[in-house]
Amino acid sequence: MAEQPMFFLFLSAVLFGLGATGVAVRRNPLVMFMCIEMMLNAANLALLTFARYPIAEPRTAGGPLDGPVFVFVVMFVAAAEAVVGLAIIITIFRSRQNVDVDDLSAMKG
Amino acid sequence: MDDLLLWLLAILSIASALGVIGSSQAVHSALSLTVNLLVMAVLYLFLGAEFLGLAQVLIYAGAVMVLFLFAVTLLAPREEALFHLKGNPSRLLGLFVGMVLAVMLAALMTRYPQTAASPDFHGSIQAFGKLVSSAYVLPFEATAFVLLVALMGAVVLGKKEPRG
Repeated sequence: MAEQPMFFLFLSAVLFGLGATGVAVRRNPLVMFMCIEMMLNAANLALLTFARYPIAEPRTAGGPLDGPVFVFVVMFVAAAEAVVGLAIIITIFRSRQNVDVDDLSAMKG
Repeated sequence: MDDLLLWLLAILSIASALGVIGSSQAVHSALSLTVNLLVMAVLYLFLGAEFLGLAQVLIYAGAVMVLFLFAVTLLAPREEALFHLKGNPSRLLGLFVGMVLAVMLAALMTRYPQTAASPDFHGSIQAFGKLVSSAYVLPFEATAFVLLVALMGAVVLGKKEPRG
Protein backbone atom coordinates (compact mmCIF):
# COMPACT_ATOMS: atom_id res chain seq x y z
CA MET A 1 0.00 0.00 0.00
CA ALA A 2 2.82 2.34 0.86
CA GLU A 3 4.61 1.88 -2.42
CA GLN A 4 2.44 4.25 -4.39
CA PRO A 5 3.08 7.72 -5.76
CA MET A 6 0.73 9.25 -3.19
CA PHE A 7 2.85 8.09 -0.27
CA PHE A 8 6.01 9.75 -1.56
CA LEU A 9 4.17 12.87 -2.72
CA PHE A 10 2.55 13.38 0.68
CA LEU A 11 5.85 12.86 2.42
CA SER A 12 7.45 15.40 0.11
CA ALA A 13 4.66 17.91 0.77
CA VAL A 14 5.01 17.51 4.54
CA LEU A 15 8.78 17.87 4.44
CA PHE A 16 8.55 20.94 2.23
CA GLY A 17 6.04 22.51 4.61
CA LEU A 18 8.25 21.74 7.60
CA GLY A 19 11.22 23.29 5.82
CA ALA A 20 9.22 26.42 5.01
CA THR A 21 8.09 26.62 8.63
CA GLY A 22 11.69 26.38 9.75
CA VAL A 23 12.78 29.21 7.46
CA ALA A 24 9.96 31.37 8.77
CA VAL A 25 10.38 30.54 12.45
CA ARG A 26 14.12 30.29 13.04
CA ARG A 27 16.28 33.37 13.36
CA ASN A 28 19.67 31.72 12.96
CA PRO A 29 20.84 31.89 9.33
CA LEU A 30 22.64 28.55 9.61
CA VAL A 31 19.49 26.74 10.64
CA MET A 32 17.52 28.61 7.98
CA PHE A 33 20.00 27.29 5.44
CA MET A 34 19.49 23.76 6.72
CA CYS A 35 15.75 24.19 6.29
CA ILE A 36 16.27 25.37 2.72
CA GLU A 37 18.30 22.22 2.03
CA MET A 38 15.40 20.20 3.45
CA MET A 39 12.96 21.94 1.11
CA LEU A 40 15.22 21.23 -1.88
CA ASN A 41 15.31 17.59 -0.85
CA ALA A 42 11.54 17.44 -0.60
CA ALA A 43 11.29 18.86 -4.12
CA ASN A 44 13.79 16.27 -5.32
CA LEU A 45 11.70 13.50 -3.82
CA ALA A 46 8.63 14.77 -5.67
CA LEU A 47 10.57 15.02 -8.94
CA LEU A 48 11.81 11.46 -8.59
CA THR A 49 8.31 10.23 -7.82
CA PHE A 50 6.94 11.94 -10.92
CA ALA A 51 9.69 10.28 -12.99
CA ARG A 52 9.08 6.87 -11.45
CA TYR A 53 5.27 6.97 -11.81
CA PRO A 54 4.71 8.90 -15.06
CA ILE A 55 1.22 9.80 -16.19
CA ALA A 56 2.09 9.52 -19.88
CA GLU A 57 5.03 8.06 -21.74
CA PRO A 58 7.80 10.66 -21.78
CA ARG A 59 8.83 11.66 -25.28
CA THR A 60 11.66 14.07 -24.57
CA ALA A 61 15.40 13.88 -25.06
CA GLY A 62 16.42 11.41 -22.40
CA GLY A 63 13.20 9.43 -22.11
CA PRO A 64 12.27 8.04 -18.69
CA LEU A 65 15.40 9.37 -16.99
CA ASP A 66 14.70 13.08 -17.51
CA GLY A 67 13.51 13.49 -13.93
CA PRO A 68 16.61 12.01 -12.31
CA VAL A 69 18.85 14.27 -14.41
CA PHE A 70 16.88 17.23 -13.12
CA VAL A 71 17.34 15.98 -9.56
CA PHE A 72 21.05 15.63 -10.22
CA VAL A 73 21.32 19.25 -11.36
CA VAL A 74 19.30 20.47 -8.36
CA MET A 75 21.59 18.52 -6.04
CA PHE A 76 24.73 20.14 -7.42
CA VAL A 77 23.23 23.61 -7.46
CA ALA A 78 22.24 23.09 -3.82
CA ALA A 79 25.80 22.13 -2.98
CA ALA A 80 27.13 25.25 -4.73
CA GLU A 81 24.54 27.36 -2.94
CA ALA A 82 25.57 25.94 0.44
CA VAL A 83 29.23 26.79 -0.25
CA VAL A 84 28.55 30.39 -1.23
CA GLY A 85 25.87 30.94 1.40
CA LEU A 86 28.02 29.68 4.26
CA ALA A 87 30.92 31.79 3.01
CA ILE A 88 28.66 34.85 3.10
CA ILE A 89 27.44 34.02 6.62
CA ILE A 90 31.01 33.63 7.84
CA THR A 91 31.98 36.94 6.22
CA ILE A 92 29.07 38.64 8.00
CA PHE A 93 30.09 37.02 11.27
CA ARG A 94 33.64 38.27 10.82
CA SER A 95 32.51 41.85 10.46
CA ARG A 96 29.97 41.97 13.31
CA GLN A 97 30.61 38.97 15.60
CA ASN A 98 26.96 38.01 15.61
CA VAL A 99 24.65 36.13 13.31
CA ASP A 100 21.00 36.81 13.85
CA VAL A 101 18.91 37.70 10.83
CA ASP A 102 16.89 40.21 12.84
CA ASP A 103 20.02 42.30 13.39
CA LEU A 104 21.04 42.24 9.74
CA SER A 105 19.11 45.25 8.58
CA ALA A 106 22.02 47.22 7.06
CA MET A 107 20.71 46.74 3.54
CA LYS A 108 17.25 47.95 4.41
CA GLY A 109 16.32 50.99 2.29
CA MET B 1 7.89 -5.86 4.83
CA ASP B 2 8.55 -3.09 2.35
CA ASP B 3 5.47 -1.27 3.60
CA LEU B 4 6.63 -1.40 7.18
CA LEU B 5 10.08 -0.13 6.22
CA LEU B 6 8.63 2.71 4.15
CA TRP B 7 6.37 3.85 6.98
CA LEU B 8 9.30 3.68 9.36
CA LEU B 9 11.38 5.80 7.00
CA ALA B 10 8.56 8.31 6.63
CA ILE B 11 8.20 8.65 10.40
CA LEU B 12 11.95 8.94 10.81
CA SER B 13 12.24 11.63 8.16
CA ILE B 14 9.41 13.72 9.60
CA ALA B 15 10.78 13.30 13.13
CA SER B 16 14.24 14.40 12.04
CA ALA B 17 12.74 17.34 10.13
CA LEU B 18 10.99 18.38 13.34
CA GLY B 19 14.35 18.00 15.05
CA VAL B 20 15.94 20.39 12.58
CA ILE B 21 13.40 23.15 13.12
CA GLY B 22 12.79 22.45 16.80
CA SER B 23 16.18 22.14 18.48
CA SER B 24 17.55 25.29 20.03
CA GLN B 25 21.19 24.26 19.49
CA ALA B 26 22.37 24.62 15.89
CA VAL B 27 24.58 21.52 16.20
CA HIS B 28 21.56 19.37 17.05
CA SER B 29 19.78 20.80 14.01
CA ALA B 30 22.73 19.86 11.82
CA LEU B 31 22.81 16.29 13.15
CA SER B 32 19.04 15.91 12.66
CA LEU B 33 19.48 17.15 9.11
CA THR B 34 22.10 14.44 8.52
CA VAL B 35 19.58 11.80 9.59
CA ASN B 36 16.97 13.39 7.32
CA LEU B 37 19.29 13.36 4.32
CA LEU B 38 20.29 9.74 4.88
CA VAL B 39 16.63 8.71 5.10
CA MET B 40 16.05 10.56 1.83
CA ALA B 41 18.87 8.54 0.25
CA VAL B 42 17.13 5.31 1.25
CA LEU B 43 13.85 6.63 -0.19
CA TYR B 44 15.65 7.38 -3.47
CA LEU B 45 16.85 3.77 -3.52
CA PHE B 46 13.26 2.64 -2.96
CA LEU B 47 12.23 4.68 -5.99
CA GLY B 48 14.83 2.86 -8.06
CA ALA B 49 17.26 5.76 -8.42
CA GLU B 50 20.47 4.04 -7.34
CA PHE B 51 22.86 6.68 -8.60
CA LEU B 52 20.98 9.50 -6.93
CA GLY B 53 20.86 7.61 -3.65
CA LEU B 54 24.63 7.27 -3.73
CA ALA B 55 25.09 10.89 -4.77
CA GLN B 56 22.82 11.94 -1.92
CA VAL B 57 24.98 10.14 0.63
CA LEU B 58 28.23 11.42 -0.87
CA ILE B 59 27.28 15.02 -1.60
CA TYR B 60 24.65 15.88 0.98
CA ALA B 61 25.27 13.67 3.95
CA GLY B 62 28.99 13.84 3.24
CA ALA B 63 30.26 17.07 1.80
CA VAL B 64 27.47 19.56 2.52
CA MET B 65 26.96 18.37 6.08
CA VAL B 66 30.66 18.58 6.87
CA LEU B 67 30.56 22.15 5.61
CA PHE B 68 27.54 22.90 7.78
CA LEU B 69 29.13 21.40 10.87
CA PHE B 70 32.30 23.38 10.20
CA ALA B 71 30.29 26.58 9.97
CA VAL B 72 28.33 25.76 13.13
CA THR B 73 31.44 25.01 15.17
CA LEU B 74 33.23 28.05 13.75
CA LEU B 75 30.43 30.48 14.52
CA ALA B 76 29.17 28.81 17.72
CA PRO B 77 25.79 30.52 17.51
CA ARG B 78 24.10 31.12 20.82
CA GLU B 79 21.10 29.14 21.91
CA GLU B 80 17.79 30.28 20.51
CA ALA B 81 14.85 30.68 22.84
CA LEU B 82 12.48 28.83 20.55
CA PHE B 83 9.44 28.26 22.64
CA HIS B 84 8.90 31.79 23.85
CA LEU B 85 5.97 32.27 21.55
CA LYS B 86 4.32 34.89 23.73
CA GLY B 87 5.00 38.38 22.47
CA ASN B 88 6.46 36.99 19.28
CA PRO B 89 3.67 37.23 16.72
CA SER B 90 5.96 36.82 13.70
CA ARG B 91 7.04 33.39 14.90
CA LEU B 92 3.45 32.25 15.35
CA LEU B 93 2.58 33.66 11.95
CA GLY B 94 5.49 31.77 10.38
CA LEU B 95 4.31 28.55 11.99
CA PHE B 96 0.82 29.12 10.66
CA VAL B 97 1.97 29.95 7.13
CA GLY B 98 4.21 26.89 6.99
CA MET B 99 1.42 24.59 8.10
CA VAL B 100 -0.99 26.10 5.58
CA LEU B 101 1.61 25.60 2.86
CA ALA B 102 2.04 21.93 3.80
CA VAL B 103 -1.72 21.30 3.81
CA MET B 104 -2.17 23.04 0.47
CA LEU B 105 0.67 21.10 -1.13
CA ALA B 106 -0.73 17.82 0.20
CA ALA B 107 -4.16 18.72 -1.16
CA LEU B 108 -2.59 19.45 -4.52
CA MET B 109 -0.81 16.10 -4.51
CA THR B 110 -4.08 14.20 -4.14
CA ARG B 111 -4.87 15.17 -7.72
CA TYR B 112 -2.01 13.01 -9.00
CA PRO B 113 -3.44 9.82 -10.52
CA GLN B 114 -2.59 6.38 -9.19
CA THR B 115 -0.23 5.23 -11.91
CA ALA B 116 1.88 2.12 -12.03
CA ALA B 117 5.66 2.28 -11.77
CA SER B 118 7.31 2.91 -15.12
CA PRO B 119 8.89 -0.36 -16.34
CA ASP B 120 11.77 1.32 -18.18
CA PHE B 121 12.94 3.50 -15.33
CA HIS B 122 16.45 2.37 -14.45
CA GLY B 123 18.30 4.80 -12.27
CA SER B 124 21.46 2.70 -12.30
CA ILE B 125 24.89 4.30 -12.51
CA GLN B 126 25.36 2.86 -15.99
CA ALA B 127 22.13 4.25 -17.40
CA PHE B 128 22.80 7.58 -15.79
CA GLY B 129 26.36 7.76 -17.09
CA LYS B 130 25.22 7.01 -20.62
CA LEU B 131 22.65 9.76 -20.41
CA VAL B 132 24.88 12.52 -19.06
CA SER B 133 27.50 11.73 -21.67
CA SER B 134 25.06 11.77 -24.58
CA ALA B 135 21.74 13.60 -24.41
CA TYR B 136 22.58 15.72 -21.37
CA VAL B 137 26.20 16.67 -21.99
CA LEU B 138 25.46 20.38 -21.89
CA PRO B 139 23.61 20.44 -18.53
CA PHE B 140 26.32 18.20 -17.10
CA GLU B 141 29.09 20.56 -18.18
CA ALA B 142 27.05 23.52 -16.98
CA THR B 143 26.82 21.89 -13.53
CA ALA B 144 30.59 21.51 -13.49
CA PHE B 145 30.91 25.19 -14.37
CA VAL B 146 28.51 26.19 -11.60
CA LEU B 147 30.61 24.24 -9.10
CA LEU B 148 33.76 25.97 -10.34
CA VAL B 149 32.15 29.39 -9.99
CA ALA B 150 30.95 28.50 -6.48
CA LEU B 151 34.47 27.48 -5.54
CA MET B 152 35.89 30.75 -6.82
CA GLY B 153 33.14 32.68 -5.06
CA ALA B 154 33.96 31.03 -1.75
CA VAL B 155 37.65 31.87 -2.17
CA VAL B 156 36.87 35.50 -3.03
CA LEU B 157 34.50 35.84 -0.07
CA GLY B 158 36.92 34.23 2.33
CA LYS B 159 39.88 36.36 1.33
CA LYS B 160 40.99 38.95 3.87
CA GLU B 161 40.57 42.37 2.37
CA PRO B 162 43.36 44.88 2.95
CA ARG B 163 41.79 47.61 5.06
CA GLY B 164 41.76 51.20 3.78
